[in-house]
Amino acid sequence: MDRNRMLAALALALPVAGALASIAANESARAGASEWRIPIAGYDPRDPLRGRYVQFRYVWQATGDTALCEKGDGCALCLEQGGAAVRAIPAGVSCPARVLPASSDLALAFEPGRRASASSRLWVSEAQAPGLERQLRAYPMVAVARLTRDGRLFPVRLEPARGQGRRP
Amino acid sequence: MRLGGKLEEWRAAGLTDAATLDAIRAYEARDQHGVGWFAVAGLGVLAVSLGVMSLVAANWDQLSDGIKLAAHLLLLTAAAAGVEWFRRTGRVWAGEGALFLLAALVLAGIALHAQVYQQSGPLWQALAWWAALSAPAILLLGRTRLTAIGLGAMLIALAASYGLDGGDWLGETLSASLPPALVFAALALPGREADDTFRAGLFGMGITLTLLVVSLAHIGWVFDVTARDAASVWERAAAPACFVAGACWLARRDQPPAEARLIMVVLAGGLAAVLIALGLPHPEGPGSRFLGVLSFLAFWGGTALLALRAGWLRLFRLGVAAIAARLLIVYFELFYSLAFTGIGLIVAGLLTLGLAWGWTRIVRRTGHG
Repeated sequence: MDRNRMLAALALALPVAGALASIAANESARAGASEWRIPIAGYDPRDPLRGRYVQFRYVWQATGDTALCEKGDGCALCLEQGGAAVRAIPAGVSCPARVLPASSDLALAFEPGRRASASSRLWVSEAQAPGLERQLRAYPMVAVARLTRDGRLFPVRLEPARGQGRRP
Repeated sequence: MRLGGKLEEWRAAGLTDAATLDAIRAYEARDQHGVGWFAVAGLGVLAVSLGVMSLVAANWDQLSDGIKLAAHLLLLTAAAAGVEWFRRTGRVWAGEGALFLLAALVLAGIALHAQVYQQSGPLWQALAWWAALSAPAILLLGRTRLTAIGLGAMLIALAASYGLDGGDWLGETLSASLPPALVFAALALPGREADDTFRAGLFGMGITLTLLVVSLAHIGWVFDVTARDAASVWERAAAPACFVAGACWLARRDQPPAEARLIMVVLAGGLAAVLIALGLPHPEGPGSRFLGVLSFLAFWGGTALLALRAGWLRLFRLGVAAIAARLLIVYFELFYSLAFTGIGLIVAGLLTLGLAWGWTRIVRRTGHG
């Protein structure tokens, strides 16, 4: 095989190799992830080209040095109380369930009364979206989210908080 | 090209005979693709890509994540195999279709992985990942102008979305490198068949973007450029300068001398014009504007002259039009009261008439129209 044909074959294999690498990396991160139930508020279903998703905000009771996050010095959040609360710690410090806001694409906001919130989104199917939208209007909801060992928090599904309604 | 009327006019004037006209018509009627054809084909491929994206976006519940990912991998492999198959059998447009499908599937795959693994992030990250996975195959296997324009458009979209997201040193350096990098890639790609228009498409996009950037950067002369602004421009200049140097070296080595000189003036002269407009600290005022006019006229004048010598008549006409437009703007900048505005218009008009006279003289001397 001459050099040009070899290069062409490699270039054509690259997209397939990239897709396989992405699947492997995501599956590996998912395998070691722990599951949390986090209260959420606010919703805003959208339907852009990229697909249907539900926009929501995680809402936590916040403790620890929240000023670290507000000053942009680099902070991490330690998930506590099953996901209902977070403790702000310096980014370099470890804790049992550490969320890195940058890895999780979370823009944190701190409100008076020691509350923290961060916007996130969940990709949902077209069939599932209307039911979910109704539930979000009717009940307090939680996001069931997974936390990978490298600190990425991602939502898996939204469901009513315990004792409220039925799952979609 | 609308030939019908002109050919009849030439025959009536006795410039040519019926046999020659038939030969010209037969030559022009061979398989060529005009703007209309590109528009229809472009709409078709856009519809296909949006369709693939919408199918992914529908995120069907009936299929498990594993099946969706496997089906995507299968389609991706089939498209890659299709590109190779059509290339071997010499079916250029079928190969281009398969290559386009491959690129659309890469983008659809990024959206699919975002859905399955609940990833979120800015648009530029998805486009950068797309470019990393698709650009090598398109650069090596693309054969037509349409494919080259598609790749260029995606890279412009990447640069724009990165800029809108805030940008930083790396993003701005890469964006600034895009125009000379397209020219460099067009000149550096290995030799192809004679009917290959991919390189010409890439080259045309690179030159067009360069001319656009140089003309926009000229606005820098209207504003105050501080030492700090200037320093940040120089910090981002190294990578574009490397691409400019590489493209000039390739042009000198491989292109006819007249074209090589034109490429060098457009790229190196363009970089110099941008650097003095944005990288040279200057206050806002008439003096700066005057220097700006001079640099603009020098760049476009040199480009037009060398374009004429290289036989690139469209670029020559564009250069003359750019100079004429700039001369007319002079009166807005330098004259303020009604009387001076009148004088300004007269001066600008005379300069433009002088330009038209010079054009006629040059055209007569060189025989180009």
